[in-house]
Amino acid sequence: MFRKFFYLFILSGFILSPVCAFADFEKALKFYNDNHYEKAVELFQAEADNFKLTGELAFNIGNCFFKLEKYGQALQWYKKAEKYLFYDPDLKFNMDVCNTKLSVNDKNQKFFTDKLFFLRTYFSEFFINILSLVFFCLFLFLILFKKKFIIFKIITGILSFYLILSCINYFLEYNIFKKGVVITDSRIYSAYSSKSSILFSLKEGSFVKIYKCEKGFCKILTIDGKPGWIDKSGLGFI
Amino acid sequence: MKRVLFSSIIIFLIFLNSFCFASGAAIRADRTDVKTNETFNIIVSVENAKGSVNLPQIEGLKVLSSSTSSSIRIINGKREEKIIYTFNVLPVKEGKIIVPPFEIETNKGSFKTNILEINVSKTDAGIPGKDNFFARAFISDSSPYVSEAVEFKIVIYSDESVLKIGFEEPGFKNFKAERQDDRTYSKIIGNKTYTVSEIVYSLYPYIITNGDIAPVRIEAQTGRKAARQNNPFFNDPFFSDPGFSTFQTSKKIIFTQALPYNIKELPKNSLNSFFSNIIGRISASADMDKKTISADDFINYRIRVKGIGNLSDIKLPEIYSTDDFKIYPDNPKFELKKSSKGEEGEIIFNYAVVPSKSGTFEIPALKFCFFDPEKEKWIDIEIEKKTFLVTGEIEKNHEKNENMEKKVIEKKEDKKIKKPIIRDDIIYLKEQKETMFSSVPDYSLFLKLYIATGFCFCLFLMFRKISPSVFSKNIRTVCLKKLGSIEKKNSEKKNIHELRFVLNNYFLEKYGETVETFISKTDDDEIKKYLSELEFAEFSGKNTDFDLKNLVLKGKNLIKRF
Repeated sequence: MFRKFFYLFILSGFILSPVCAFADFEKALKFYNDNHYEKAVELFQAEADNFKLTGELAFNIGNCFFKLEKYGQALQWYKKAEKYLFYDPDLKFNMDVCNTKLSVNDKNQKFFTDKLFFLRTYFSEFFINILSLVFFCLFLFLILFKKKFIIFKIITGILSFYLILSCINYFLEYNIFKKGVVITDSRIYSAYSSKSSILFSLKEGSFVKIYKCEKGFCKILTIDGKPGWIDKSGLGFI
Repeated sequence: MKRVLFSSIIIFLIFLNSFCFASGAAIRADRTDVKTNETFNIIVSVENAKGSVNLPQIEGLKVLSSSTSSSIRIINGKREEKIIYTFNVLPVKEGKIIVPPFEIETNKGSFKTNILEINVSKTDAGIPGKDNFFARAFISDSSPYVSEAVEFKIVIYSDESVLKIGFEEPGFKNFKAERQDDRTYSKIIGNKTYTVSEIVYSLYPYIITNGDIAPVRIEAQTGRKAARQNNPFFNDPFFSDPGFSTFQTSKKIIFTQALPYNIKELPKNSLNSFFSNIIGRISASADMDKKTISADDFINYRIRVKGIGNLSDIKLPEIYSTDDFKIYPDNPKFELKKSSKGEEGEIIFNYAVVPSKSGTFEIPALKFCFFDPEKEKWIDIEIEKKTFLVTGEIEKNHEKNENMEKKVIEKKEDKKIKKPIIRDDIIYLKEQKETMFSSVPDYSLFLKLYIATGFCFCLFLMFRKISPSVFSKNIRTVCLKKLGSIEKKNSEKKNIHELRFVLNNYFLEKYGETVETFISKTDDDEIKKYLSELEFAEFSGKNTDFDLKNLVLKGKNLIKRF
């Protein structure tokens, strides 16, 4: 009898856990509709922490921050969503609105690697990974045939090489070459202390590369190649 | 006696052998007479030993870089190994510099090199009025503040004997450099007319540090008329025509002087206003095209910033929309020209102000600061608040926005200014939590999949004994090429073996049969005859009793035919 209850308990746990998560998502939608954006953000973020971050969740969090008039943070989450979603007109529109609010020209907000590995603008990162694996397998399969399919071999070889390079770049962006968005108008210092001299200021919504973080400050490089240290609280990681 | 003699010979040979492999170290410089700011190499070579070089303190020399190379020579079975350490050094003072012995610690003990003497003379940047070619470098301010624009100028003087001038683009460490338009003019110095070329850079320091702007290397090709031969024949006036003159060219290298700099940090900003990023001198004013508008109209609000400094870095504080009106900023318009103190001119920031209701409203005052390097103080700028009156009824929000957008666009099109796009709201949430491929990829899983695929592929190749190929050459082309190379050789039996091997290889690759099996199936007598000729040449005939060229030619035809 006890064993039956135990199995039932385990089974209900399995069934109910996604249901609970789904309920949280639904609640967050409700809060958003009732203009309780802060609560909605909390629930969406809890959802991303407990379940997993998806493009849709990032998009919704971005929307909440937009409504809270925190445009820098909104842009940060839209940029995250861009990585995980296929080309999405809604996202494009919202990003444009956000850029207009921040007086940011999105075309100038790209590093060289973003331009080189541009596929993420159109496809989700997950899909690019799958695509690269498929092309890699296809290339290995084709090179088994001697004297045949030479053009296909070359095309698949080049494509799989480019896709693998793209995936390596995306992977490194999570670990070494991190990127971020300035979420509040910030002063850039010459060292990791607010007592050090101010080099220049960065406007909310500016796109930066992040090298390292020390003592509450992060070393950054701006799009136009200027280095400096920024207070970590003014920076949102993508 | 014999035994003693034999032992002594053995000992002598061992000694000789060890002498041959003696380890040692030597030092030399590629030049011993150098000029300040002209780099040269100190070369330390270590023979038959491996180790490390301890660099001594050398007064008056700065080590810029070092490199190591090694070489191994085997002569008559004797192995000689040589490791060369090259130090690229820069003399920083004039006079005789003594390079102390370098200590080299090796696996065979430590060695010391001999002393090296270097004579350093003053950098030759040329003497005005005397030399045909000289140069100088100038910096407008050797101790600028970070981000303050300074002018760096290289002035090259050359007379008519200089044919061509080239210079190494200086590397401005710690500065962002922008090259300006070059200037060329003439100047008379000490009865000599020089062509003066000015190469100007605007420098913007971005790191607080001090150092030197390295000397710029300038190279010139000079030419002069060659002395005429002492042959009286050439003394004829006919040969004085310029068409007959011969020119002797030579190359001359000079360096400009090194320019020290000290980039200062900005003093503590006691003002609490927004820092506009400007190090220079600016003034600002604001205006609006009308002060009274109807509810369906909008106002063009303009902020003009005039001044000098790093103007293209300017950032203004945000003007936020309120419930009463919305602010739509346009891209700023830069009307700047470069000068020795940075950029000079005007920047116009345009905003479209769209009212949301009727009444009297004000655009708030703006306050920001800049740093004036001449006065060495922070200065606040305040743009006064502007008031405007909105009259009439407001249409419904949606319709109004649409109308306004149209109006703004029409008006901007007239003025040929970029259109501000009025978008006020965003697209609603995504109601699905996840779609296909929209989650964060698990890179460790993908890495495992790649490794597994590669591993399976290698296993498959091993078991099936297949070699993968990306670019396969046509076997016919390969064999014909091989036959072509045999054709050039002498008529020897080994070459006939090679010819046969190529033919067999071709037929095996293409038809899976040897040339004999393949030909035995055909009825062509001529081919069969060729095969017997080949066999005769290979086994029965004398070493040179056949015509190799003819046989190769027939072989080629055979390959072309099948």
